[in-house]
Amino acid sequence: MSVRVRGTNSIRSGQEPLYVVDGVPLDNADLTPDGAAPAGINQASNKNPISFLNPEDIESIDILKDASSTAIYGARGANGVILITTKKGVKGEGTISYNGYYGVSQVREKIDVLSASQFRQYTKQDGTKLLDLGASTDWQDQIFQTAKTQNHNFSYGGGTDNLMYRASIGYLDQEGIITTTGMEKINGNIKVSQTAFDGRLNLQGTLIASHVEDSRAPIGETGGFEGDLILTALKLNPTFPIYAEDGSYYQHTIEQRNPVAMMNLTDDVTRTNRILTNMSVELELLTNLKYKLNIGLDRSVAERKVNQGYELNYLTNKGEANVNSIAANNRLVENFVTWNSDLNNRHRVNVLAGHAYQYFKVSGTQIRVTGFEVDDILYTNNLGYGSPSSPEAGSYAYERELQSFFGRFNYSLDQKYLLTLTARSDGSSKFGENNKYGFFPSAAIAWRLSEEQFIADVDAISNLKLRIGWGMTGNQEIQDKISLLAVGTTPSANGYFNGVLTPGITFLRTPNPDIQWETTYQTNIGLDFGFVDNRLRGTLDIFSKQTEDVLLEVFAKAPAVTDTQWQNVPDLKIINTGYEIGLDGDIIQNNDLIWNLGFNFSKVKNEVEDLPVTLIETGNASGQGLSGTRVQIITNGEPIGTFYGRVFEGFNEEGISQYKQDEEGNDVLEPLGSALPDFTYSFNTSFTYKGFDLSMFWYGSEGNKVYNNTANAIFVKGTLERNSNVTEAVYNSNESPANSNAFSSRFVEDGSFLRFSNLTLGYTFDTNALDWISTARIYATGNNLLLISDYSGFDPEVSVDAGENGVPSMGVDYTSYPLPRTITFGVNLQF
Amino acid sequence: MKRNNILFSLSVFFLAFSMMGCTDLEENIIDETLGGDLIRNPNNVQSLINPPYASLRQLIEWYDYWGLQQITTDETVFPTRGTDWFDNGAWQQLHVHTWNADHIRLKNVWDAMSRGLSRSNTAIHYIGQFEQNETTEQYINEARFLRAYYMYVIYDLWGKVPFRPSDQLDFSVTPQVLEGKEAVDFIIEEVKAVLPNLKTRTEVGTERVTQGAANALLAKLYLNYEVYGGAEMWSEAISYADDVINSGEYEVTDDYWSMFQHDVTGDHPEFIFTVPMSDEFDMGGGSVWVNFTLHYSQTFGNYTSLWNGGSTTSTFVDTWDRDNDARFYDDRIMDETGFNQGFLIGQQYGPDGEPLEMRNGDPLIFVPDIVLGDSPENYGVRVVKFAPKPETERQFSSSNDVPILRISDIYLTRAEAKFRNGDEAGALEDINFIRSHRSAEGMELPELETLTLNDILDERGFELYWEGFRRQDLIRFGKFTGTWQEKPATDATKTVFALPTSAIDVNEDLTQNDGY
Repeated sequence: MSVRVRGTNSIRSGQEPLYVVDGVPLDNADLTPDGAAPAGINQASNKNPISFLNPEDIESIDILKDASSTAIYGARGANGVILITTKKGVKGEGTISYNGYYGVSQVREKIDVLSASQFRQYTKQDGTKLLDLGASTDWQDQIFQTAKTQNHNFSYGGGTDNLMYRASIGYLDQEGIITTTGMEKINGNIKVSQTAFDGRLNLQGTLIASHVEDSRAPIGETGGFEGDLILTALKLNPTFPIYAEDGSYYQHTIEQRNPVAMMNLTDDVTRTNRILTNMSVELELLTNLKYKLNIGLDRSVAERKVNQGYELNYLTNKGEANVNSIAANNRLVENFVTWNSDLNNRHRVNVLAGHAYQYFKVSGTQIRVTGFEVDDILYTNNLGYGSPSSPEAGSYAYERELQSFFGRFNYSLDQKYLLTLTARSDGSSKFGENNKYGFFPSAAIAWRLSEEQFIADVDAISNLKLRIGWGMTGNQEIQDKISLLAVGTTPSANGYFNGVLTPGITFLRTPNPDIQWETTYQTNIGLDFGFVDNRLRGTLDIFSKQTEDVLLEVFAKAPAVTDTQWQNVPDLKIINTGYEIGLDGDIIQNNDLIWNLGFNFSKVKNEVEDLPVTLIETGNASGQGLSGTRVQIITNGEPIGTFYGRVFEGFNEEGISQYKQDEEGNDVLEPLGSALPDFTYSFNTSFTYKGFDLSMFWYGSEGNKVYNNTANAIFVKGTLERNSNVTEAVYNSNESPANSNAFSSRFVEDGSFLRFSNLTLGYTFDTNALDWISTARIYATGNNLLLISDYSGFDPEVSVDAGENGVPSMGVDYTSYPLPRTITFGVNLQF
Repeated sequence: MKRNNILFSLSVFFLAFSMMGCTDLEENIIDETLGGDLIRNPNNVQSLINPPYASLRQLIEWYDYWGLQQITTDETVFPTRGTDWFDNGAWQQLHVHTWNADHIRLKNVWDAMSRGLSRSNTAIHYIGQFEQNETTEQYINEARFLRAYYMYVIYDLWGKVPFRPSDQLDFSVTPQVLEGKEAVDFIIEEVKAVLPNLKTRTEVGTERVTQGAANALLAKLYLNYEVYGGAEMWSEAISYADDVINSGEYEVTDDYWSMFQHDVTGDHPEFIFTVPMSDEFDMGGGSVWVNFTLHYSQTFGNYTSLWNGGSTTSTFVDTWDRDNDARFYDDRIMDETGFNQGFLIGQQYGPDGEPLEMRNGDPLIFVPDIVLGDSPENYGVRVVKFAPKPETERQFSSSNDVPILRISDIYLTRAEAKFRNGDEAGALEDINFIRSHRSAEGMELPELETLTLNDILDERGFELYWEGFRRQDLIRFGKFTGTWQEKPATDATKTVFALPTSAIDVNEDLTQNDGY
């Protein structure tokens, strides 16, 4: 899960937008503990940071993109801000509602590797046949299942003039399309608001609690050459049996694992409890002068327990247990005053000034014990059964603080000319002594053209507004401690003399007390328009973002105490320019039939300028024969996410790869396209006819490249000759088995796609005659129904983390969990 | 009235909250002692001298320093085997000398050796801040030797070496770059300056810097002086070799393979300077050299994952007197592992004595053929120099001490210097002295009666193969640019490596070597 708002602004990780739930900014730290090493189940991609919320409880999601609106989030707004507001009670008699669905999911499309009989037909170059153990196993069928999902939500809410309340509980039980995976989630949500003293005091409280249990299979982002569950299922010889004659799993060799054994003998469950609560009090001190206090707490405790059964032949020391946990606290106190005034009918002023303080504390522990040989129990339930000499433990903890002073000034003249100025001074404990605070101003003006007489007279134009904004926002997503010197010990510095190991004290970090905020400057011009009574409406935005003082770990001038040092790289600029168009039309609008059509288009151009080094490599390829292969670079004049390597020009007569060469006959390396798309688009439409409703959502991406690391690692002729399964395309190709699987443009594919993401058909019953029920609707939804793409892997919309030295990669596909196709049937009832 | 009271208490409540926010934003580190005091505490003097020693472990890392000195020569080749071992061309490029400035191994070795150099500086500086006594003086001298050693390694690989004085603690200052004669003379003077104040092997063993190690390094620097500094310094090389040999602290034994057992320590009489290793701890480097060469099916003990990679060339195998030379073959570990030490040729067997098979079921027979771009599983003669410890739980941490300077190297250094200085008889005496200790059991390795430069290079190969010396030797004998199995003649500029792009990018005074 990764979300980018208006392009990629940074080189490092830390490009996620800021999520704000009911006024509480979340910490983007990874709250999912690591798994365990041997099965390639190491890191799991940072999960969607709002997955703890119940979608049924969300009232609205607003994405803030432009300079002025993000600037009020100042220091952390550079990657955009996603505001989530949960539902609140509605004035009136208390209502109960029930929403539920039942769904089934399947893998959308398997990869067409050879069947056992095709595999048997193949004759190797030396005339012999491939290793045949007589079975016929479709390993993909063995790991994929038709998964069932059920979801139930009850909510109760209502209110009076002064008190509004809503409470809800939700339950989700979702099986994954890989047999042993799934998620169980229980949510509770209470929101109460109270008004008192003739409306002079407003109190609002929210409590969101969730318990999530994630079951994972041994699927990793990188993994060793032996491969994780998915890679193994794709490449394993289809003539191997699942079980040996004695009923145990058939495990051919250590590097040719049995995916069914991997899946069934690995038990990997993460339990996460999270509470997010906030309380706000707003008091009208004087007429037009309000004071507001907002306090929030977000606490998450996640514990991951991984058991790997001793029967797995690839474990280094019998059975293995890992217990890893992360606890995170995030506290917020915000105070602000607002002053509102209509000076007279023409002039309106709104002023806000405030202070915010946020405190984060994250701590984690890891325990690993090996040497288990017991049956019947989970090792993590009694680590004492492990080898007494094996336990390894570790822990870490950090604290961070943010403090901000901010202000906003709004002025409108005749409601036609609007001005917004914001300023925010943000301090972070992460930054150096000399640059704790950053100042982030913004300005925006808007002109409601449609209020002008010369436009108001034009009947066809119902709304026209021009917006111009400029602002600075920051990014502080860097490691902790980098402004401080560290001296300490590390295994590679310890001394060993005469059989005794003693600690070695060395510099672990070169401090940079001048480290400061990375800053993004954004300018945007936008136009909001509506024609024909707003039946055709839309927005057009043109923007330019430039990131400077880019935070990066750069090479030190050797000999220096550490190889690298964090710096705000001088001169370097990351530039995103682009435009966005959104159009919505009510094509038919009468009593029985409503037909809407919407369309969105976005084009962003990304470029790196003035990088002081030749290039920065990332995109670490995985797989046999690919060690040390980096497929992506960051370099001047090219966008981030540019693939770089040899240019494949087909096979020669001997079936050996030919690459583009220079005049001297050397292979040339050149940019092979970027993982960033040329443009993205989406359209949606909905029909309502009497009680029926039908809606669709399609979206697509054009021009983005994907590195098919899976194919590079296992789908070449050479692996087939070594008794490993391949796709039919490889089987039929004239590639020589002697050809190496060197990385080249051969494995960089066009990842353009159009996805039929959602289709919903619903029927709302007429409940006017029934007094015990107010709304009743049934529906059927299909998700991910169709994917139009030339990409040969499971799905082009992927991103595994193949980063190098903290520089993330993009568009690398290596055994990603395929996005399933899901059909659900549901009901919405309100009493 | 009541209402006003409530309002008043609410206001107090708010104000209380508005106060609690303010902070000075000091970064509060709660899981790390930042350790500024550690480095200024005289009780930690041993911990300060440890890091420059620890970096020596990088010298025995097969894929890094060892790889640069070996895979670029006729002793070692890592052919691509179908879809295995291409690895972005890294190993092929090393063998046929087509690496460039972005070669990943060059960067890794540059970083590791620069770190060793810098750690030596840190030790010199901070130990120098303490009240001086015998120990602090000894350690500073050791650190100065180690700094010279890392500079020698960097200079040998790249022909240039950046240098900072130990009190230059602002690392944003561009360091001085030493080249050519200036660099070698600096290194030599440093070693000479500390030599008289170093301890002897009898006092501190081979795991620490000794006078013997300093004399041995000087002998080797003078032997290579013609390459490094453009002048012949044979008598200096002889003189420092004499100092090592005549010290009486080292002895060439009759059991060559006793140096390469998994339990050997720095006490071995042939060792001058060793990298002490243990598999009981994670030492952050210092690997055993068997996983990368043995075939997938040659499993034994805890070694269950083998990678079927590196081999030696037929060019090198053909130089041997296989029957009479003890250094070619030894079978003392065979009962435990199924394979011998030395050269692995022909049918291979498991620890149970059963013949092994390849993945396709054919017998596993190692043959000397190599195809650089695509060798079948059984191509290439394998080499096992150091015996692995079958029951180890840390396969990538050597269980035995590994010598980086040993006495027969110094005998051969003296022999070569004598020969190049016109004293063939003296050279023969040294060479035959070594050969007299290296006969296979029940055989006799014949004495040489005449000598050529080729004979000396061959003898160095017999004695020191796969120990990380070959590249330097081939360069000194003018053979590095020549041809051998799978390698065409290469350009003379390849005798120094390309400086890594990452190093040149940040240091404007460091210019790329010719030919890159």
